[in-house]
Amino acid sequence: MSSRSNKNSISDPVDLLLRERMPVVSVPRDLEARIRSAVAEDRKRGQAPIGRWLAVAAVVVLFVVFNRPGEQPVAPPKLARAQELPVSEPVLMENPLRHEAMALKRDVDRTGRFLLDALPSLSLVDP
Amino acid sequence: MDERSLAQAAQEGSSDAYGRLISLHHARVFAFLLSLTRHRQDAEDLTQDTFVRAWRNIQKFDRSLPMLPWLLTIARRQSIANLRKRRPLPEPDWMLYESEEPTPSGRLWRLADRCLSRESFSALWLHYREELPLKEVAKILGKREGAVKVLLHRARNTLATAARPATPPPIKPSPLPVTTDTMISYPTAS
Repeated sequence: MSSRSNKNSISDPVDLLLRERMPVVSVPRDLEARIRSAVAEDRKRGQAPIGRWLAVAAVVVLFVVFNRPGEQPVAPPKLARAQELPVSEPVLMENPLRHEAMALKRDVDRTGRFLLDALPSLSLVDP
Repeated sequence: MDERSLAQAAQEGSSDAYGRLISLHHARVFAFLLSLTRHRQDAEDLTQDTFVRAWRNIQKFDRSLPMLPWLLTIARRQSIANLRKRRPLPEPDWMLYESEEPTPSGRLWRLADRCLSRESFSALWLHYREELPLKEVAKILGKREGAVKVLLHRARNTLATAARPATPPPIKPSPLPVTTDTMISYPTAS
């Protein structure tokens, strides 16, 4: 099968003509140099990441050190004498859960009453 | 140093060895890309991208195989990616045998460039111009070997039909002896 197709292709005038003279393409003179420089550049870029990450880390550390909020001096903070809190009248705050507590208490009362009402009926159940 | 040793050295990080591989193959990669794109600037840029990409993936290259088909596979993928990115496509600025009077063979190549699809022309280029076996052509084009065989067969048939002269064949002389006395009478419509 393959030998037959091969024979056919060899006897084919189109096949012969295509093999007779190959197309010639002129290559730009500086193309090779351009490719080489592009590869070298890519290689350099490929080596950079570790150094770049170190640089980024250093910048972040410096930023954190110099831009702390408040910018207080490094010296130990002075101990301030504790001042007595001014005595004021006790503030009577309303318990925000007061209503909830009341409702719960009501529920408990109702449940208790219900149970008490239900108890006598138990005696009616046959043993 | 042969190609395999150069590839090994390049895989070990030698840029000199890779430079020599560039010298060996860049012209053929460029020619293939030019046949695909028909645009000089695009072909140059894509050749550059192809070799950069090949350098990045040099560890994946199987040294037991020839390097050109591997490079051409990368080149074709780059060209497809470029086609997807660049719309509208630039006007072609290159043609086969543009600067000389072509021979019959050259005329046929020019015809192929004009009338075949890019895929068929690529198959033709790789098989006839680069003299790659069908198996390698199939690998580069991402097809089965049988499909490439069919593609080439159809391309040859198309070329044979297109190359046929458009003028009708000359009329054969009559087998009867024609003398000056012979009167030819045509039937009339009456």
